[in-house]
Amino acid sequence: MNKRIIFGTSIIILMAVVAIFAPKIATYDPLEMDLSPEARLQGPSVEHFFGTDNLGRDVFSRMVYGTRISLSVGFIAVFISLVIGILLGGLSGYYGGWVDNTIMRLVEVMYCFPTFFLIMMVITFLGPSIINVMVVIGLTSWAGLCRLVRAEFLSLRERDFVYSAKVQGVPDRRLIFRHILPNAMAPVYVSATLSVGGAILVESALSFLGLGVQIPTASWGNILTAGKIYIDYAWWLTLFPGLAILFTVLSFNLIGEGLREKLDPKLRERK
Amino acid sequence: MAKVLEVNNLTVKIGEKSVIDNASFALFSGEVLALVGESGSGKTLTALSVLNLLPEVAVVEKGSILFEGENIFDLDKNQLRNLRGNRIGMVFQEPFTALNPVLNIGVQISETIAAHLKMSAGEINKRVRELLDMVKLSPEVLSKYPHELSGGMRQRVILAMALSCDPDVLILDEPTTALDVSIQKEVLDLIKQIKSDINFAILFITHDLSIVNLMADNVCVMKRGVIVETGSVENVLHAPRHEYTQHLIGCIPRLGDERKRLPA
Ligand SMILES: Nc1ncnc2c1ncn2[C@@H]1O[C@H](COP(=O)(O)OP(=O)(O)OP(=O)(O)O)[C@@H](O)[C@H]1O
Ligand SMILES: [Mg+2]
Repeated sequence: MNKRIIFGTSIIILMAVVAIFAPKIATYDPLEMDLSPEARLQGPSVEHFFGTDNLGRDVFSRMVYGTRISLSVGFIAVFISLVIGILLGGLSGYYGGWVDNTIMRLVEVMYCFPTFFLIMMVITFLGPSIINVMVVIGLTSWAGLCRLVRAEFLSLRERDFVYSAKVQGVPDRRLIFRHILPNAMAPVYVSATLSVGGAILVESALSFLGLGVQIPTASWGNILTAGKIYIDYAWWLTLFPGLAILFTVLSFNLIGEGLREKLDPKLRERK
Repeated sequence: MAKVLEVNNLTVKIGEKSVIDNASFALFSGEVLALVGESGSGKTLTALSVLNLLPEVAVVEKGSILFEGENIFDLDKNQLRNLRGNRIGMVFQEPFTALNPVLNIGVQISETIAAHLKMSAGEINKRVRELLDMVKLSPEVLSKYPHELSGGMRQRVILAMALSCDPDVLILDEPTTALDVSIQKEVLDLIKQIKSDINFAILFITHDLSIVNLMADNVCVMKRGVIVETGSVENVLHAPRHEYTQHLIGCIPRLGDERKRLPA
C-alpha cells in the first residue's frame, strides 16, 4: 500500500470515529455557555483541551461536533455531484449526438460561473443552512466529473466487450451501468476523493463568512470565525479548527493522489 | 431449404471509400457459408451490417438485408435488440477483449439469456450449466473473471453466450484466428459437433482457406468490399475462377496437401 493512502485513510478513519461517537468523545455540551469572566476565553488545559471561546463553551467539544458537519457536508455534497456527473457524463458519452451537445453546453455554462460566488449567491437567496450548503455545493461541482465520465465512456463504448455485449442484445441501461460504468470508475474515485476535501473547504469558507452552518451549531468554519476577533490573545480559537480543516483536506488529497498513482498504470495498460 | 438471411446489393461507405461494394449473398437454414478474404476486405463490416451495428463512420449507401424476409434496416431499436443475441448470435475475432474484465463469466453468460427470455433465476442457472456442458467447460468457470481464463476457454464462453438463446444464425468472425493452432482445432471441432447436435445456419468469416475446407458448405470470396466469387467449397477451392481466389489458394501451401485428400 501507498504511504500517502495509509496516512490519509488513518486520519479520515480517526475523523469518522470522532464524528460517529461525538457525544461520547465530547467532554462538555458543545452549546453550554458559561458567561462568567473566569470561564470565558480560557487557554488549553486539562479540563478544556482546546480551551474555551468567548461564550465560555468548550472548543474541543464544539470541534468534535463540528467534525460531523464537515464530514457529512464533504460526503453528501460529493455524493450529489457524483450522481449528477456520472449520469450526465454517461449519457453524454454513450449516446453522443444532440444529447452530448446539450449536456456539454450545460457543462460549459457551469464552468463559466465562478463556482464559489455562484454558491454564495444561491445561499444568500435560499438562506444559509447546512442542507442548503450540501445541496448547493453538490449541484455546482459536477461539471468536472461529468467531463471525466464522458471521456471514459467515449473510449469505452468503442471497446470490443461493449460491442460484444451489444451483439448479445444486452439492453442500453445494463450496458451503461453494468458494463461501461464499472470500467470508468478508477478516475472517478480519484476525482471524488479530491472533491471531498474541496467541499469541506468550501463549507468552512461559507461558514467563516456566515453563509454556512449557523450558530449556535458548531462547524469548524464558524468556530474559526468566532475566534478571528480574539486572534491576538486567544490563538486556540483559530489554530485548532484551522488545523482540523488543514489535516482533513490534506488527507483526502493524499488519498486522491495516492489512488491516482495506483490506478494510473492500470489505466495505461488498459488502453 | 429456406433462406434465413439474404444480403442484397449492399453498399457501405466510409467516407468516399466503398468498404462493402454491391455485395449479395444468401444463407440457407442449416448451411455453413464461409466468407473469405484478406485482411481489410470488409468481412467484419459485413457481419456487423447483418446486426445493424456498423460503426458510426460507416454509412449504408444502398441495399437490404433480409432476415426471415424482414429488412433489418427497417427494424426499430427493440426489434433489433431482440434480433441480436436471440435470433442471431455472434462470436468475435478477439477473445481477449470481447469479455468485460470486471464481470465474472456467470454474470456475462446469464445476462444474454436474461436479456431475451423470461426465465426465473433458477431456470437461467440451469440453462447456463447446459450451455457450459455444450461448450465443454466446467461450472467452475462461472465465478472466474476473464483474465483467469485461457484464450480457448474465453472463446468457448463467448460461443456459449452466442448460443444461449438458440439462435437461427450464428456469425463467427474469425473465431480461431487469435488462438494457438492446437486450440484452433479443438474449437473448430467443438463448433462442428454443436452444429451437428442443434441445427442452425453459420456465417463463418475467415481468411484461412483450410478452415473453409474443413467447415463450410459454400463460400463467398471477398476482395476490397466486392464479392468476386461464390459457390460450393469444392468448386471454388478446386476450380477457382477468379484470379484473386487463385491467389488466395496459392498463398496457403498447406491447402495443397488437403486438396489431394478431398474426394474428386
Ligand atoms: N471503425 C472504422 N473506421 C474507419 N474505417 C474502418 C472502420 N472499421 C473498418 N474500417 C475499414 O473498413 C475496411 C474493412 O474492414 P473490416 O474490419 O470489415 O475488414 P476485415 O475483412 O474484417 O479484416 P480482418 O481480416 O483484418 O478482420 C478496412 O479497410 C478498414 O480499414
Ligand atoms: Mg475482421
